[in-house]
Amino acid sequence: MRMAKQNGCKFVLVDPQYTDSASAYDAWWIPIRPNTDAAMMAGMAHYIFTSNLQDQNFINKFVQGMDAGTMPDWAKDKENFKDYILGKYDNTPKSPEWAAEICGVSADDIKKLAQLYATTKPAALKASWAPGRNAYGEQYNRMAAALQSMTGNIGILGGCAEGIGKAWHAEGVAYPYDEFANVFYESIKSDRWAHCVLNYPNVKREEIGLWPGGKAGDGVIPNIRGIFWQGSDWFNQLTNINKEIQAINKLDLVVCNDSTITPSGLYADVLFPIATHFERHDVALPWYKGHYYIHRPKVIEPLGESKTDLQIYTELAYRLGGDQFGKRYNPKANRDYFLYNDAVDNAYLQEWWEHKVMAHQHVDMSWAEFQKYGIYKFKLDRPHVAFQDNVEKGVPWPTASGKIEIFSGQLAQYDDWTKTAYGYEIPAIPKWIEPFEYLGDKEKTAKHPFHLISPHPRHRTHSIFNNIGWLRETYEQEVTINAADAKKLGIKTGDTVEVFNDRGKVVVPAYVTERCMPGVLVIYEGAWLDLDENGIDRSGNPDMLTLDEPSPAGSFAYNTVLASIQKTDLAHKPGWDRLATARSHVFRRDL
Amino acid sequence: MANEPVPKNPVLQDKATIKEAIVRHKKEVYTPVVPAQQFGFIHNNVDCIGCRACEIACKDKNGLAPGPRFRRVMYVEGGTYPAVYAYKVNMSCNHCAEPACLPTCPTGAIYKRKKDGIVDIDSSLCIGCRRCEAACPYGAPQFIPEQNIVSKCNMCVDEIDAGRKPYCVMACMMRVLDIGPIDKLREATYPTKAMAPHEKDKLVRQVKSMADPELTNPSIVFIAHSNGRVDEPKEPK
Ligand code: SF4
Ligand code: SF4
Repeated sequence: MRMAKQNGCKFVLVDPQYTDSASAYDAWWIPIRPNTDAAMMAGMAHYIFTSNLQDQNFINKFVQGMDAGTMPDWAKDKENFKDYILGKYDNTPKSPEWAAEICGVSADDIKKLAQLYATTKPAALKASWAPGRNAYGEQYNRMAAALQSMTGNIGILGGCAEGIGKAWHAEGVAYPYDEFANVFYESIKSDRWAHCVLNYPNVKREEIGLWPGGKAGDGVIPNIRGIFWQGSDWFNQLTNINKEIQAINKLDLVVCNDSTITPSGLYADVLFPIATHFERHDVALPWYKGHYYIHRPKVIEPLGESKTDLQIYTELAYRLGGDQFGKRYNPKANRDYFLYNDAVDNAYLQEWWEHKVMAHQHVDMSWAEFQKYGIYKFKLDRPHVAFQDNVEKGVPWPTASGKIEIFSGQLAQYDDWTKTAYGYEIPAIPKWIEPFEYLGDKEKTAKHPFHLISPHPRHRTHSIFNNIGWLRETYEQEVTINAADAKKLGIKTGDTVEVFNDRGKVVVPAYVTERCMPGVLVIYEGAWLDLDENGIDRSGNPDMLTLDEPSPAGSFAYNTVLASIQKTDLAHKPGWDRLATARSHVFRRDL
Repeated sequence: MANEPVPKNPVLQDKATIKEAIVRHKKEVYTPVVPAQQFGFIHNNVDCIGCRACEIACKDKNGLAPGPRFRRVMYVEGGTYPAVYAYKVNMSCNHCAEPACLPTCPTGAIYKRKKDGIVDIDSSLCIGCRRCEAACPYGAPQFIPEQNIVSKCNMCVDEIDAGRKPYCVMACMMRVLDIGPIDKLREATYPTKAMAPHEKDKLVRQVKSMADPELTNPSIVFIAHSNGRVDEPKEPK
C-alpha cells in the first residue's frame, strides 16, 4: 500500500473514524454513520447508472440480475438491481440525495466518489469486514459486489472482488480430522446460544439459525446442557455478555481449554491447561492473503500439567468411545499419545508437507529443509488475481448460473425462510434495509443518542494478549468520542466515563478527538471482563452493550449498537494486574 | 487540540541571545567527542502507521518491564472535524553530536563512541542520580526503578558491531524507520526505504513540539508532515 501511494495511487477512506491508515496513506476521509454503508453505495450505484458510467459490456457478459436485460429467463418478473436503484418498484430512487439523508455523507461527496470510482481504471473497492458485522451486513457486502461488478473491477489486476477474493490458497490443516468420526449435524448461530439456553424449549428454529439439513434429529431445538470452549475466549467475545451470564448459570457443565485463565475460564467448571504454540510442533498457515508457511518447532516441553488440544481430544475419544473411536479420531496415534505425541505430530506434519504442499503446490523444499529454514515463501510467477480466469478465459463462476449473481437465484426461490439457514428473509438483490438500531432511528436515539462501534484493537488479537503488560502500555482501553459531543457533555480526555444501554454498562477513560464523527463512540473489542459487585464492567468490554441478534445471513451485529455516555465516579480497571495506566497518552494527546 | 488550550503567558525571547548562551555554555562545560562517522536515525512521520512494533522490539531486546520506554512513538493530531490530520514522531535517543546528558553525569558513566558517535551509559558506573534524565531535551534517558539506574537506547551497539541494524529498525514492517550515517541521511544521499525519492524536500531536522536542535545537534532526521513543519507553518488541509 505504501508503495502504491509512492506510485501515485489515491486513497479514500469511508469510516466513522479518521484512522491511522487514513493519515499514513493521505486518504480523502469520508465520515459515515455506522451501519449505513449499503445506503451510500446504493446512492453511488444510482449516480453511476444515471450518468451511464457502468461497464455494460462486463455486466452483459458476467453478471446476473444487474438490470432487466441480465435477468434469467425464469425470473423476468422478479426485481432486478438497476430498477430497484432507480426506484421503479417503490417510487423511491436511491439517489445520492436519498442516501445522504441516511448515511450522513453529503450528496456531493457521494457523487464525487462515484464518479471517481467509475472512471478510475482500475479501482479497488476494498469492502472491509466491520460494516458487514451489522444488522443486514450482508446487504453491504452484496452492494459492494454490485459496485465492483458494474464497474468491471473484478478479475483484473488493481481491482478488487468482494469478500475473500483471493487467488492463492494455503493447503489445509495437517492434523487428523476424520469428518465422519463423530457426526453431529445440528448447528446454531453461535451468538444465539444464550438465547437458546434461556428460552428452551420455547424457541423457534429461525431464532437460533438452526439449519435443517435433512439429517436425523435435525430441526430439533437443542436442550443445551453443557459447553466446551476451545481456542477462544468465547464468553468474553460474543455479544450481550449479561445475557450470557444468565445463561451460563443454567448449564450443567462448562469446559474450557486455554493456556491462560481468561474471563471465559473463570466461568468454567473444568479448565484444561493447554500447551502454547511454543510447546507443540506445528506449521503456521497465513491468515487471509499471505503466501507462505512458517514452521513452528516445539521450543520447550509443555509446562506443568498442560497438554496440547489434540492430546486432550484423543484421550477423550479413547475414554468416551473406546479403542475403536480413539483410533478413528487420531489414526496415527496409539493410546500413549497423551504422554508421547512428538513422533505422531511430526508424522502428520510431514505427510501434509509431502502429500499436499510438495505434491500440489510445486514446492521442492523437503520437510527436513523446511524445518531447518523455518519459513517457506512462495515466489509467484505473476500477481495472482482472484477470478482472473473467469474474466479472461470465460471459466464459469462457481455459482448456479455460472455468473456473478447480483440477483441470487437461490435466494429468489425460497418460500419458507424459517426452513433455511438464514431464518429470515434476505432479498434476492442487494437492498438497503434499516438496521435494528442506528442513528436514523428517531425513537431509539431519543433514549440512547450515540452509535457505538467496536473495531478490532491492534494492541491485542481480539482478546488474546490483553494480559501482556507491554501491549497494554502501548494503548489504553478507552472510548473515543468526538470533541464537539464531548464538550456538550463536559467530558475531557482522560475523564472516566460510563457507556451504557439497556443491555449493560462499562467504565472507561475517554479519548476526546476531532478524528471521530459526531454521534459515534468507539471502544475496541476484547478487553477482559472485570465486573464490580453491581455487574458493571470496569474493563470497558463493549460486548456488554452489543446485541445478540445476528443478521439473517449469520454475521453478528457487533456494530449495531446504540448507547449513552456520561461522566462517572465509578472506577475503571485497565487490566487484571496492577500495571499502571499507560503512559502512552502522555505522548499521544493534545500536543 | 481536542481539549481547551491552556493559556500561555508570553515570554520575551530573543533567539540570538539564546544561541549565544548555548555556545557559551557548551564551551564552558564540555568538549564533544568528534566521531569518525556519526550514525543517526531517519523516520517518516507520515507513512508511519503508529503500530509501535519498534517500541516492543526494543523492550524485548533490552528486557524492559512495563514503564521505561527507550523508544517512544508520539501521536500528533490536529485540525477540526472533518478537516483533520494526524502523524507520528518516533524518537529514542538521538545520539547527539553535543549530548546534553553526557556532561551532567557525575561519575562519567555516559560516553560517546569515537567510531560511530553512539552515546551509551555504562550501567556499572551509573548511580541513578537521574541528572541526565533532566538534562536531555528529548526525554531519552529512562529510569529503571528495579535497578536504580538510568538506561537508554544505545542503537543496539552489539548489533551495529555485528554489522546489522538495531531491533527497532528491523521490526518496522512499514520500513519507515532506519539508521545510517547522519550526514548522508541529511543530504538524502544514503539509500533508505524510509524516504521515497520525491520526498527529499520534506526532510527536516526538527518538527513541531520538538526541542531546538541547536541545543545538542541531535542525529535524527524526519520526513515531516506538512502540519508538522516548523519552517513553513501550514493550515490544515
Ligand atoms: S537524545 Fe538525550 S540522552 Fe540521547 S544523546 Fe541526546 S541528550 Fe543524550
Ligand atoms: S514500527 Fe515502524 S510503522 Fe510501527 S510505529 Fe514504529 S516506526 Fe512506525
